[in-house]
Amino acid sequence: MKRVLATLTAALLAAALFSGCGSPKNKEYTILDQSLADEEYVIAFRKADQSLRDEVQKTLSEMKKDGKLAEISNTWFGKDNTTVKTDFTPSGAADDSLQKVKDKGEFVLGLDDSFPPMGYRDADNNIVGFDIDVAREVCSRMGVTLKLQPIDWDSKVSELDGGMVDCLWNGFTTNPEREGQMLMSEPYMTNRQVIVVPKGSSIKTLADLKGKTLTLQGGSTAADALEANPEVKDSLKEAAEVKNNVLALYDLGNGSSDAVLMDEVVARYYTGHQDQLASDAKAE
Amino acid sequence: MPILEAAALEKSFGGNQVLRDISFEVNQGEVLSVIGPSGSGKSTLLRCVTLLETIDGGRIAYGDLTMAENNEAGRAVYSASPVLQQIRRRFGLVFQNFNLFPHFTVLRNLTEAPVRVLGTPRGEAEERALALLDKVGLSGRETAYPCELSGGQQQRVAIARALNMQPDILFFDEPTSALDPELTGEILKVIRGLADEHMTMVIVTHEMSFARDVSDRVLFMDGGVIVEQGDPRQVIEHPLNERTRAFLSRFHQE
Amino acid sequence: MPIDNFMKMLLQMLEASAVTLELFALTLLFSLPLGLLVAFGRMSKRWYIQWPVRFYLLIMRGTPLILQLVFFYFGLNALFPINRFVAAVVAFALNYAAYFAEIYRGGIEAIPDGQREAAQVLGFTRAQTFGHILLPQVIKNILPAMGNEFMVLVKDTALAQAIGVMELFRLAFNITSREFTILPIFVAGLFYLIMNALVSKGFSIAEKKMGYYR
Repeated sequence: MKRVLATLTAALLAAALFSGCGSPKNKEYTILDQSLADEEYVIAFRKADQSLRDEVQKTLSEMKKDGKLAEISNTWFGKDNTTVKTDFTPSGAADDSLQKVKDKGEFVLGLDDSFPPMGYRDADNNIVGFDIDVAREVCSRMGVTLKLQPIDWDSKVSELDGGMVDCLWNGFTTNPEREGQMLMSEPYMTNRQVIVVPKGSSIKTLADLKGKTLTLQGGSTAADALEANPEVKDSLKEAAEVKNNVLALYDLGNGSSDAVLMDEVVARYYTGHQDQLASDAKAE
Repeated sequence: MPILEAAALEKSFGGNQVLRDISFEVNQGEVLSVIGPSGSGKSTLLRCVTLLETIDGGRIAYGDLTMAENNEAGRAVYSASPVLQQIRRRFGLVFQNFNLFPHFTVLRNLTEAPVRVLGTPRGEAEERALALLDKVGLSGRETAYPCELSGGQQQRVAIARALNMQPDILFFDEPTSALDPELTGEILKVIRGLADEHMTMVIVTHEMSFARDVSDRVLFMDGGVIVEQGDPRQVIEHPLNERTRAFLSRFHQE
Repeated sequence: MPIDNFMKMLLQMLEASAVTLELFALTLLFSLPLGLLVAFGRMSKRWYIQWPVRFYLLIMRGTPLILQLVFFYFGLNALFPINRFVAAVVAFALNYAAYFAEIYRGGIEAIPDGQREAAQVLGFTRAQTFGHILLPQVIKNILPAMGNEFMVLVKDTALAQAIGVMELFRLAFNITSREFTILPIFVAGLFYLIMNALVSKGFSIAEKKMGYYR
């Protein structure tokens, strides 16, 4: 038994050391001014769920008007980042999607619970984030309970179409292809696909990426943005796709890669600007 | 009434006929030896009368119980399985390769079938098993596993296992062929002892002198037919048929 | 990563390990007997039993488990509402039953015909022959292969995250995103290692126990 314990302790230490190698925490990063794409975050509903989408949109507009949205944004970002309009025109649709949600008394929000600061798990394993706070307020105004359903992000369309969730609300970027599949709210926040480099890197502009290795999260909108910018993509030595943004930053930290392409909102969280704010929000 | 009656047995594997018009009987207390070259069909014959193979035509009966007989078309038809199961209780078979159950002790090898198949109380089955082990010279080995025994010892356990089912007739399929020559003696001694007690037995064997000494009757098979049968001294020492003579002379040279 | 967050993480990983172990245990509960039925079907001489079973074996072993998970969760959900965890158990049980069936078949076919013949001559019924004579020997034969499959299953449970089951590995990746370090993944690795060390130990005990005969 002693031997087993000793082995495990050694393994744990080795793991800690290993994970420390190239840890992005020890480095300082810069976000380039030039971005690859400007994007908008939306809430996605099923194509047919017009009345549900209208109700959520109406509630968001009210929250923008009475300052609640600005208040939540301030907690997470230090300023009002939201772009919700105060005027709202209903589409006039009269389907039963809103009634259904009201009847069951809960609104199921599908999310990838590892997308800080929009929606993620805090140290106590509770799902928190900017989107979560907004959704909770929307639900309370709609008189329903918010149910958070973590899903595998690759299956998001199936989860929505299959009725397992009522919406996707998790820093979800809209694009024409997605608009063909789903019904979108008005954009509520802008986001950019930005390039993160180590401080002091020779890369200052997009043109400097020529012949360099760029790492990004596979299947993300960053991948879409790169695809939409062939002149950047083709100038690269390599575009490496990894499982998540943290691994991408590790790649950068240990020098395997020269730059990371990711959502600005997330990049700001990781590069330290958001750390303090996030923990303040938790403390509240 | 004979204990075993076989009439006009026919058996083919694919297009190859291995048994042709085989007829014989075994009576109470009789010891019958079956001899013949390899591939003569003697092992197949034993497998047919023990239900390990099916016959194509002919009749097999154990006393009043019919195992199979011909329909009008001349094809053998087997009795319903309860009858067959009853017939299985009347005979025992000792295999060339012993086929002991490796995961059971010697004692359990002897008692498992009586207890589960015949419903014999375990105590009674064990009592008889110990007596049988004593008889085959293995008293004290009841807790051993088959892998701890020599081939000769395993075969003696196999004989005791068959006897503990209290069969009317016991078949031996070349019981010494898988053994080193120096171990055959202990098996033959056990079989001889059973013959002295007038156990009804059919023995397929290559041990000519043993067959001659222990049998009441010898049956010589070649090419799927019974070539010659009769008194052991007569068949083995003064065979009438040319093929029997040829087989035996090859044997004596070896 | 702050130490109190680390301690919290260990506790959460213990909880997530319970989900992993539950999935492991339920998969075995259903797939071990089901695999035996499938093995019998595969060995059946009747074509209308053997062919569908062969097809099932081909599908289950010939397509990625992650695809089967997605198929059972979203496919079954189209017919009736099904819980994520239940769908995972269904997919895992059907998949592992296919592998177990082939292991059983190998174990059964490795037993000499003489065993079955000896039992038949002694008058054992087919069920008695299988249960008392063949099965104990089959179990001894297949222990090493089964040990392999059990250990693979412990690790395969991580695939359940594809349909949103909150198991150990998903939790680890989540913490990675929040804490900005990949340490949680290695800690999760240790959890899997401990679970599999226990599985491995269990099998060596079982093999020793079955080693009383050859």
